[in-house]
Amino acid sequence: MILSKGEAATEEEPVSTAFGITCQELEQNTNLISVEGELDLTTAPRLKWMLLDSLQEGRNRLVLDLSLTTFMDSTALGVLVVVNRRLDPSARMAIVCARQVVLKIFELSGMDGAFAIFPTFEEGLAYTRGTSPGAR
Amino acid sequence: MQRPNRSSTLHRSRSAALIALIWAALFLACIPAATARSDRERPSSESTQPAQSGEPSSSDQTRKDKSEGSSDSSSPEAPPAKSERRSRRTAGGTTSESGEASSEATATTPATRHSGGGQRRQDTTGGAQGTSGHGGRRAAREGETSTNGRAGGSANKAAATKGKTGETGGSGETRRKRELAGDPHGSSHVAKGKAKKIEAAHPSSVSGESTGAGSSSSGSSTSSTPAQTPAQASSSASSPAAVTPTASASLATSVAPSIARRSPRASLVKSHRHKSVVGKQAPTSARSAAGSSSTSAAAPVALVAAVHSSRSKVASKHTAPTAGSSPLLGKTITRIVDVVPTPIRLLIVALVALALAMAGRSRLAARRARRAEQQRGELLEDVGLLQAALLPETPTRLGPVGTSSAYRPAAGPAAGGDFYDVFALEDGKLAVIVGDVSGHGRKALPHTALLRFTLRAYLEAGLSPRGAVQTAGAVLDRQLGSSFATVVAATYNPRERRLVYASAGHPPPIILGSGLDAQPLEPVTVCSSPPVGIGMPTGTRQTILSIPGEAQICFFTDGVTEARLSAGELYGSERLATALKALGSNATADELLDCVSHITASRPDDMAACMLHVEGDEAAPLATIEELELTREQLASDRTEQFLLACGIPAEEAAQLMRRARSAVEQSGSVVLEISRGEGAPVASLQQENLAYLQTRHAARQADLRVSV
Repeated sequence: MILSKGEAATEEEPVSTAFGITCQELEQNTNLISVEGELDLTTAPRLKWMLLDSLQEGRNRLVLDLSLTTFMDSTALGVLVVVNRRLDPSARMAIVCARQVVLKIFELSGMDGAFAIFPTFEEGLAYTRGTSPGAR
Repeated sequence: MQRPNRSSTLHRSRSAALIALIWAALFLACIPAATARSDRERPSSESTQPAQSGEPSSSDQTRKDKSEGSSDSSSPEAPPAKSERRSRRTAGGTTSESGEASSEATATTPATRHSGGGQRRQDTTGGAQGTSGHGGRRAAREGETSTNGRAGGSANKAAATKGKTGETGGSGETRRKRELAGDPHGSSHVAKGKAKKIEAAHPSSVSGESTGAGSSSSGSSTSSTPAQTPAQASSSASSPAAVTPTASASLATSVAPSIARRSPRASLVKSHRHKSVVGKQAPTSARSAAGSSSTSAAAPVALVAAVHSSRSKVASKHTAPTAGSSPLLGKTITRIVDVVPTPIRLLIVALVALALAMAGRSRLAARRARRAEQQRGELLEDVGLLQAALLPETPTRLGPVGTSSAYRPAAGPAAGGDFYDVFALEDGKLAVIVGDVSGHGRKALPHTALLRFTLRAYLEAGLSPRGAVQTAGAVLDRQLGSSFATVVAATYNPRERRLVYASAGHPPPIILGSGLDAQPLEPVTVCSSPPVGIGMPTGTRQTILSIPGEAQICFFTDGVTEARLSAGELYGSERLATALKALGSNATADELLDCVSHITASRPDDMAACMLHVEGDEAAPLATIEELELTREQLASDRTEQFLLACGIPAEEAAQLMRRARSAVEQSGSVVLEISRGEGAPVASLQQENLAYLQTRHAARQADLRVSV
């Protein structure tokens, strides 16, 4: 079930600035939030509200799918930091990302150690359910 | 901004004041005309012309004779329009006959004028008449019947004069009304105007001589008296004052109706014309004749003549030999004030008050605007000072190293997060700090200052770049609150030709060595230190570079690499390195940022850059040592192994190192992994955590204290 929808991405070319964010409810109190496009000064706040709203609703297992995300700036990283701080001990957030561009951004920022980043969705989901040994 | 509102308020106030002033001026301008008109109406046998013009013309004499006869025949009680006019002429002739008559006329003129003015006002406004003229008019009305009967009575000439004045006024008023009814052109206005003119011509004779004139006139020849009386009566009957004793006046009378007929307009216009007519008549009979003829010529001429008449009025005032010693201006004002009915007076006062209020308001607004402008200037000055504090002027040379820095704030709301500094340390070393506080804009400004000065202080205290970043991260974490900052701190030792830098979530500097095939050094970014203020320990990574030959070292913020080209593509670090290379070895940070600005279409974040130009021969820089501080959490993940592999350590050795590192951490809590890269294979070693300088000093002090105690 789709909780909310942003604008749909119109193109697939790498320089597209179209942004789309969706939220999908999964079993075991898990929310799957998918981001498509670029996370920058204007779009990062929307991700923030999406994540915080999920936590507010009591969905304490979040899988953030950044497979289709093309870019992240310091604002987006700040959003992830804020959400990470709001996670209570029982909550878990997994980031799914395989794109080198985004992974490099995480690495350069030194925050790849702060988040649980997984290359595939399954691994991320397993992490949130506590069935995987942990992040990379 | 307030400014537009303020200026529009100013404009409104000023225009309102201007409009109010114009209305007040118009009203004030109407008064003399009205006054003149009333004057013309009242005096029947009064003649101010003798004083004005001197000799009446022969034509006047003839007219006078005619008027005499006509006046005799005419009954004051039955004032048809014709007789009125005739009586006017008669009065004019009669007055010109005798100086006494003229004086009488003069005497009555002012009263007439007043009443005439009042009458005129009545005509114009149709409202109450609160001036003396009004009273006189009422009295005149009452006395009209009696006076008509007593036309010949000269017993109370003085009183009669006054009464006549009132009479004249009243009768004039009645006449005028009748006239108006019968003759919409209001020839009475003409006579009134004439009367006013005459009065103006002889302001002095007005007050002083009224009674005397009356008495004298009464005592004068009976012929004149009866002539006067009927003339007066007739003139009083005829509202337009037959005060004009000269032929010109009669001419004007004849002319006036034609004028009036030509263009029956507002009383103001008529009065002007009459004024012009009368005015022309006032100076000399010939002049008046000319004036009247010219006036009869065309209406616009009359308007122009009105101007002339006002001037001639003044002239005639001056020429009046019988003028008293009282100031002209005062008398005129008094007359004007007396003539004006109360409501009009109040209205004028209100208008003037309104004009003054508006003027005051506009002045206040202007003053407020000036003060606001001054405050704005002061504020801008303060902002400039603050900006200078946050974005320092850096030297162009520190020892053998050329230095430059540049800053471009973001165009939009993200402005204000970047900071930088270049300064000298002891031992001939120099330091560079470049950082970017998150949460952009004004909120970030205090944090930029805090970070810059804290890091500067730690570097100046002797801490290594990594030590400074680590200590600042631990100390400022709470102060930064929800915001965080990426930062790179670096020191360069020209003697050893070694650059040491530590980055916390910040892009590493681009280092371009000399040489044709010089390529920017690829830094190891694995296991980068996180930003300051996100709640994680930072300052865990440090790189030491050896720079044997000439080189350019460029520190920058992500605003440079995240700027976008017109197609939306990111500028990127590769393009930056290319641009740096293209600019040459003597490029400054300003030139670099200008180059970036030209190419990019959108720059949503601040851009800052600091550049070092190291002189030397051609030689490529080498990454000498890569340091990584290891903690238990760090060893828990496989990032450390990734780091070792990225540094060129073979996998087997890496695994072995990992085991050794874990045991060392178990013992002492942390260990520093050092990988030396240079000629040949990299060499890894584990070092005990080199405690921060400050911590060491602190511990030593503690030890000393313990000892001393």
